[in-house]
Amino acid sequence: MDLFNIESIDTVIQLIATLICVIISVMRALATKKRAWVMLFFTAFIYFLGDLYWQIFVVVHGHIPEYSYIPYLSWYASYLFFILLLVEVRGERDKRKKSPVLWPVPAFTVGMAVLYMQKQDYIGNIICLILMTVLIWQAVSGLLDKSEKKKRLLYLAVLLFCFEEYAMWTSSFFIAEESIRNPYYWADIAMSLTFVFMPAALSKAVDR
Amino acid sequence: MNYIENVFICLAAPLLIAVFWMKDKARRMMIFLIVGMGACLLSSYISTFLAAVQGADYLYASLEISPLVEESIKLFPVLFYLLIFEPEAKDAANASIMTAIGFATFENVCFLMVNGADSILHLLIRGFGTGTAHVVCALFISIGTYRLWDKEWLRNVGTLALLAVAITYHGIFNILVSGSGAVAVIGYFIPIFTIIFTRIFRKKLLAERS
Repeated sequence: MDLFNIESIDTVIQLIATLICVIISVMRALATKKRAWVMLFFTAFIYFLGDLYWQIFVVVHGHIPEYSYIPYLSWYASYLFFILLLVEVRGERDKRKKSPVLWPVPAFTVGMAVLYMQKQDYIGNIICLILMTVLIWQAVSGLLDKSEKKKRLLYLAVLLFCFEEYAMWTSSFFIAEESIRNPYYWADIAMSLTFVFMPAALSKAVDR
Repeated sequence: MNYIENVFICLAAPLLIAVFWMKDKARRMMIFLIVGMGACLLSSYISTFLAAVQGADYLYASLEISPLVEESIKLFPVLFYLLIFEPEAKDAANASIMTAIGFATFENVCFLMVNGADSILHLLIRGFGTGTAHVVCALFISIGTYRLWDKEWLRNVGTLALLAVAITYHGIFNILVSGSGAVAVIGYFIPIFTIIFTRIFRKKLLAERS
């Protein structure tokens, strides 16, 4: 297998980006002892490990993993840590009042999951549906909360991450081409940049 | 046939006798050591079964199925201890590490039975590498128990998320050691470097939550 194809280059860029996020967050976690930084560390670290598993498999065995349970599991766990991160940084909210702006969130995620299920992988799509719904819900709730202004950048970064994930899934649903013209790779590289930006957003939310 | 059940009985028998003469923490730790060995035996059955169902050969089973099964089975005794006995964070973390040590010990015994014990250098690297990999995976969960999860729901969700970290780490280790030459040596040394790193920052990592 050619290791200098667009997929490998894309994975290496993402490995570097997530590693930067891992290093910054572990240093901040050790310095500040804030749990939010530990959560960001695990978010980036598990995403990094999933990419690393994939790339090492390709390098050692010359093809992509046959079953790929492990990298997908690690990416799902990364979404879970993002949720835990948002739960950690958010303030006390009135649970009884739900803004009507939030209701399109599950409508969007369910709609997209139904689309992706046309290509089967029902369990994986249901897991993504649940995790993404909670994640986007938490991020939008945070943006709507006027008392959490300094955390806005973090919520925006998380929403950007979710948007990029959906852009990747949708483009890979319609286009299977492995070339730079495929929007999948642009969305993936944009997501790598979001990981680099994430420590700055969290720092603004919890350190100052 | 390598009769691993018989080997398990042979290894576990003196430890079981010792359990009756020990008290408190020492007894608890010995029980988790035996449970870890039992978890290794059980996960070998489950991995073999899943590999047969999936039609996977030995290599793919060891790279893609066994990390998932081994780490999950290894976690069950600790989860049982956490949920039923509600121990202190320190005791739960120690239980997790003892289970991992029992698991790694029995796995090494099985490796010796299949591959022989003639190359001391290879066995040294393998013994320390595999043993440390299992302990590192247990450490991920221990650190979470120690300092991250102060609420019941957070502990359950967080432990599941950390299980995924342990599974992926274990999967990477298995891919590297399945290679040859420098790749395998790097694979065996990664857990050793990880454990040295965690040892250096031990105090900070294991600072119990307030």
